[in-house]
Amino acid sequence: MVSFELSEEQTLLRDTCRDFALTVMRKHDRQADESGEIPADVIKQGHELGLTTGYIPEAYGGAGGELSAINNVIVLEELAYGNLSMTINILAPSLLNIPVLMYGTEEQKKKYLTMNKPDQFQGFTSAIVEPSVRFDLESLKTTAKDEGDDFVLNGQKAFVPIADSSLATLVFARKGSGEGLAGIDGYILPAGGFTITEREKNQGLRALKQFTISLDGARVPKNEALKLSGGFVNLLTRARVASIALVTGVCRAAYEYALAYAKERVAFGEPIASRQSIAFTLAEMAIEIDAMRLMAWRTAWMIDKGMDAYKEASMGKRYAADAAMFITRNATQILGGHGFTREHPVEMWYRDARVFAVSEFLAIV
Amino acid sequence: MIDFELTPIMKMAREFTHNYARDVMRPISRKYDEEEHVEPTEFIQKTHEMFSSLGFSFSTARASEEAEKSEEKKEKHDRPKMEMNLLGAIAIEELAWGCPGLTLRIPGPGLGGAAIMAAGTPEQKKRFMKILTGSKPSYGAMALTEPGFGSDASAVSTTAVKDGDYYILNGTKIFVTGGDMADLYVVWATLGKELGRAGIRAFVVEKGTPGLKIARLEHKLGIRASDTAEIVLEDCRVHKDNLLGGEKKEEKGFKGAMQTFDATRPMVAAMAIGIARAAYDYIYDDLVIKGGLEINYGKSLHKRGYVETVLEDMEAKIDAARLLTWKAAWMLDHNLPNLKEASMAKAKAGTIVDEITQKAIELYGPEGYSRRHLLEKWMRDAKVYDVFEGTGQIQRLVVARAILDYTRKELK
Repeated sequence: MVSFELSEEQTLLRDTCRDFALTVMRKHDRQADESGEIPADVIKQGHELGLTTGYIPEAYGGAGGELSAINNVIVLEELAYGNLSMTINILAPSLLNIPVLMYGTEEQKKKYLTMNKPDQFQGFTSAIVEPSVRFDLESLKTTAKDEGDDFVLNGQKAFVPIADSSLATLVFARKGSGEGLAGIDGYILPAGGFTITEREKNQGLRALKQFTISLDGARVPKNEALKLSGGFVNLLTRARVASIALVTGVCRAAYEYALAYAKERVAFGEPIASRQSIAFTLAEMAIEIDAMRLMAWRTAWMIDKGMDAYKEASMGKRYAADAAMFITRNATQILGGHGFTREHPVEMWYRDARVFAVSEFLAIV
Repeated sequence: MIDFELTPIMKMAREFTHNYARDVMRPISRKYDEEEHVEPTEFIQKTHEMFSSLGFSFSTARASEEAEKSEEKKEKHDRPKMEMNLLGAIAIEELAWGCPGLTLRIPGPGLGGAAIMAAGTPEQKKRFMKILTGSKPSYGAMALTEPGFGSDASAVSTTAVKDGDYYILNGTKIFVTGGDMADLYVVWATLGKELGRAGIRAFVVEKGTPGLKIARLEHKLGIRASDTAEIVLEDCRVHKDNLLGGEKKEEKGFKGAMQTFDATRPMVAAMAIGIARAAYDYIYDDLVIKGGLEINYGKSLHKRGYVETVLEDMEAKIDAARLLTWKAAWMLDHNLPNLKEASMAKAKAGTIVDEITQKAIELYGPEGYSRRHLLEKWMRDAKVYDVFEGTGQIQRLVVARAILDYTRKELK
């Protein structure tokens, strides 16, 4: 039976995350963007919301909640509404936890899931994108060579969040050469298991520490390989749904800011919002944000129902990434010259929003 | 709990209406486009019988359910037995996929019925819905627009002057959908210009009432299977019992007209989506099914061709508009205020249907321009979906006022 209503539990989850976004994340967003550092306390407080440990079964020291894509998209929108860099950092452990929970061996689950501590942020991450122009997942170049007891990894990865402080990094690679998504598996490397080449300097996401890393023939014992058996596409689907929700949050931040500004800012004796040119733009933004959110919800719902949502997730991500440019660009435009200054956050949201059309695995549901 | 699972009856309705659209409507769609003003008599009779016998004509079912509900005590959190607006949106998308013009020709309460449901007293709902849901094909029309105004419904100049138990109506109404075949017309008139919006009321004028005449039929760009009439009221006497909402309930007047749109805009949006999908399916069949083009969802852009990404964009837009439409319809089913959402859905659907039907012709090439194919018809049909039931601009105005919390004066 169709319903667009959040359950009581989901409403509470949304409100908790929204409160954290506004009272904690937003307080530090500009400073973090300028300095390239997220205050440790923000990460600690964000971690204590339990978003990356809640779905870990009690047997592995977690809260034993269900892994719900729909709950996760609600969370992602709210947190990204606060700040995108902080959200990706706080939720980075899920980039390893969720794949391990879904595809890991008993031994891997025991080892890695139990490393998560509800009261202390432990870094985990995954490495997928590679530093090549026109990077394309289908032709992922990082290889895992079978050498007896180990796999030997070669290649380079880019935009790996918190690679410098992660206890374990899930590296995606393929055995031998080839094309397509089916042959991609995961390989878990410990801290120090690869060389950090440099910290990324991006247009946006400046507060988030992302790195290029070099694998340099890193040896991964076979029991540390996360055999996906073609399941990579499921993980990709879950990551793309996450992107739709994240970008919805960033857009909502920009939209709300522009809307409030338009009601305050007076030109020719009236608030600029009382002009249709501004008001209609805001209306368009509101329509697109609603559509994006519904796409995230519907696709997450499909995942929770066990349906194949690859097409919907991919299509929705592309749609949302496009709409995000329209929304954040116009939010900046509505502020006029002030939108171009770093006195206001809209230029930051505009920069942050650009990432969705180009990156993968920013978060996972 | 967020859920996108259609009920079995919704799935059944979708399948039935789709098959009906494909087997009955599509084959005659071109004929009634070319032969404007020719009544599709056989289609009307057949469709009426079909829906009546099946018992789930969405409009009929909705009308009877609403009438029933209005007699019951209003209980809070009382979930509707059947989500008629959502069901209606699902079914009408399929019918419009078959032919939007013929869809508007399907007998039922129509816009007149919607206005009666929004502004009528329980007694009036019962009385008039009986006429509109009877055994013979019937139709309820809405007569609001006048030569002097379109979007600005507060500018009604048709007059209603009280004379004992009667009101005498005088004025001209244009763009009355189905105005040639209506069994009753909901006519909006003013009790006195000095009363402003509060003086605007709706009167049910039954077919054959002396003084009511059909002046002419419009010649239109699209939806030609559906006739649009100009009607003239000359000293047309209507009993006070036909004044919607009764004589005293002044506030139901203009507001009633506007509330009608909460229910009709999602339906119009759903029809627009049906047309967009028709055009999309038509070129999909040619390019993908017959032509072997692959749509590589999720692949890197530099590895993809222009045409496949255009197809994906079309599909995504249809999806976005449909989700907005379902939400707006669902809200109404659950008695949630949906003024903003109904306009969002209508604005989006009205925009994408033009874009998609235009682009589909381009992708089809010169042949797409030919009347041998329905693509050019759908592009013509599409245009009105960004015009009637409130233009795209009016929808944006409604949305903007809602999000800004602005009055009519604050945002003109």
